[in-house]
Amino acid sequence: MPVIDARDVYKTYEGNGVPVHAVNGINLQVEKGEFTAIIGPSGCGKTTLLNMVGGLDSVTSGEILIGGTRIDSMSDRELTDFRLLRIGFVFQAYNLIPVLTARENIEFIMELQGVDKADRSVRSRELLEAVGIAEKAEVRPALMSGGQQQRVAVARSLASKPEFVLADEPTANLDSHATEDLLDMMLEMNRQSGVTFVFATHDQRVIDKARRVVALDDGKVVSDSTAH
Amino acid sequence: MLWTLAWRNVWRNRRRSVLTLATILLAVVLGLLMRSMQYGSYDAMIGSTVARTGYIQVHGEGYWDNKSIDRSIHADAATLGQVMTVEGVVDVIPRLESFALISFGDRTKPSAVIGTEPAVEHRYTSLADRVVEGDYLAAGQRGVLLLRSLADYLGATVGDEVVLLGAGYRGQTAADLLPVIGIFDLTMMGNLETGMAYVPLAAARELYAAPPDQVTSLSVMLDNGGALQVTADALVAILGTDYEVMTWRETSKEVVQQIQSDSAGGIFMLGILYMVAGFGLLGTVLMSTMERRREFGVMNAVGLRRSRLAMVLFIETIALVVVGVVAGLIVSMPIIYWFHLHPIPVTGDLVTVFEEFNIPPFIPFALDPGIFVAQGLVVLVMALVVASFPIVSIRRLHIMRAITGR
Repeated sequence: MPVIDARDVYKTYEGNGVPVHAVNGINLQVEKGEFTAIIGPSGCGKTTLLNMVGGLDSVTSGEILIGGTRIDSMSDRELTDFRLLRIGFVFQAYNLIPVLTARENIEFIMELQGVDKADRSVRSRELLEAVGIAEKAEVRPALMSGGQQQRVAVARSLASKPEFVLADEPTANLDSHATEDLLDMMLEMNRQSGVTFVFATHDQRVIDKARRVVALDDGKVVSDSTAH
Repeated sequence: MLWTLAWRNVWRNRRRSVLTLATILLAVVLGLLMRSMQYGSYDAMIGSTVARTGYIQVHGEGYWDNKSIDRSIHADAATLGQVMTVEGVVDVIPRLESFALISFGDRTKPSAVIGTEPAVEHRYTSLADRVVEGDYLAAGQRGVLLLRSLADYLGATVGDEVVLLGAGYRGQTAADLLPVIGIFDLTMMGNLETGMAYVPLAAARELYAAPPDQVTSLSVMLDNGGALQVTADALVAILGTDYEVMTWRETSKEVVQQIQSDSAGGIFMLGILYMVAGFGLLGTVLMSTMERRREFGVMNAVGLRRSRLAMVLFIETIALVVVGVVAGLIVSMPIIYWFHLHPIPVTGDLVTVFEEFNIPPFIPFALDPGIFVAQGLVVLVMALVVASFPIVSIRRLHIMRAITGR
C-alpha cells in the first residue's frame, strides 16, 4: 500500500473572479522509502499538491489517502492530529519556533504527541546527533545559521516518527555548501532508516539527488521518472 | 511546554511588554489610590454620620418628620435591654433633644439642647475631646456644655449660669438655670445660626418636664454596618409599631446621595483609566498576534490544535495582565497603608468642604480588601475581553495563507 495515494485530484482557486486550476486531475502514488522530487516551473501546482497531500489545503475534488486513510474529508481537528502523528514538514523558511531552543523545538512535537519527558530527551538528542548539530541543542534559532536551522527543522519533522516528510523548497534559502550538506544528510536518513521524503523543488541539486522525479506543468503530471 | 512557550512569548519583545506592563501598573496604582481615598472619605462620612444618628435610630412614630418632644418615647431599662439583645448591637445612646432659648445677661440665642448619657456620647462622638474650656459632663450632673460660638455670643464662660427657656413635654414650660460646666468646639458648627448645648439626660428630662425614661431617640450602634437592614428588621420585630426604626441610610439620605454621586464620578474616572490601559494592552496583543501569523500557521501545520494555540495566546495575555496587576499591588499597597496610618491633612478652602460633611479635615485611605478585589476583577474582565481578540484570530486562521504570508 502506498504511503501517499492521490487519486484524480483537482484544486481550483478563485483568482479575481476567474477560476484558476492549480491542480488538474493528478494521480500520484508514493511508496515507503522513496526520495521523490516534484518539480516544475513556478505556478505549476507542485506546492499546492504538496499542501493537499499534507492536509494543509483542501481538494476541490478527488481523493487523498495517507497509508490507506482518506484525509480529504477530515475535520480541521482530525487533520491537525493526523499531521501531528503521521506527517513531517520541512518549510522553505525553516519556521522554527523562535522562543524555543533547538532541543525544545524538537521535543515540542513529541510533547504534543504525549511522549514522556525521558523519551523526549533521548529522542531529541538522537535526532540532533543525526542531523549533526548536537552542540546547538540549547541554542535558539536566531543564533543559528540558515543551514543549521534547516537541520533542526528536519530533526523536528522526524520527531513524531512520521510516515513521510514533505519538504517544500527546503534549500531555497541555503547556500550551495549548506544545501549539499542538508541533502546528503537527508539521503543518509532515507538510506539508513527508510524515511520517505517528498520534495517540491526547482533546485537542480535536489533534483540530481532524487531517485524519483515527478514533473508537473499546468497542474498535471507531464513526466514521472525513476533513477536507478 | 505551552506555559513555557507563552511565558517566553510575553518577553519576546521586552520593551513593548515592559511598556504595556507599566501602563497596567500605573492604571492599577492610580485606580487603587483613587478608590482607597474615596472609600476612606466615605468611611469618615459614614462614621461621622452614625456617631450623630447611630447606625440605626429608634424614635417615636412620626418624630422624624415632626421633631417635637411630644413625640418622644418611653425607653426604660427593659426596652434598652431588648434592643441590646439584637445580634450586632453593641451600644445604645439615649437622647432627649429639643430647642430652647439660652440666655446670659442681655443676650439670647435659640439653641438645640441635647440631653444624653455623657459617657456613651463620648464613646462615639469624642465629645469630651472637643471640650476647650472647663470640664466634660458627668452623668446626673446639673450643668450645661455650650458650643464655643454660642458661649462667645452670649459672653458666658465656665462657671456662669445660663437660663434655658422653651416648650416642654405636653405643653409644659421648660425653664431652668444651669451652670456652664464646659465649652466645646466643633469647627464644622462654627457658622451655625443657632446654638448647641449638651446636658446630662436627667437634667434634660428635668428641663423639659419629661417623665423618667423618656427619650426622643435611641441611637443604636452596631459592631459593623454590614447587616444594617437585617438588624433594623430585627428591631422592628422586637419593638413593635409604636416605634419607628430608621437606618442611617434613611436618616442621612444626603450623605448616601453624596457618596453615590462621588462614587459614580470615581467609577467614570476608573473607566477612562482602564480604557487607556485596555487599549494599550489590546495594541500589544493585536500587534503580537498579527506579526506571528506565520508562526501560528506552522505550529498548526505541525500538529498544534487551534484550541491549544488559542490557549497559549490566552495565557500570554493573562500572564501579562497578572504581572502588571501584581506589580501594581506591590507598589500601591505600601503607599495606601502609609496614608491609611498617616492621612493627608487638607488645608485652605478644602477644609470648608470637609466641614460641610462633618468629617475631620484629613484625606483618609481605606484598607478595605474589597477595593483590591474589585480592581483585580475589573482588570481581569479587561484582560478576558482583550484575550478574546487573538482567540478569534486563531479560529479564523487560514493555515496556508498564514504560512505563505498571503
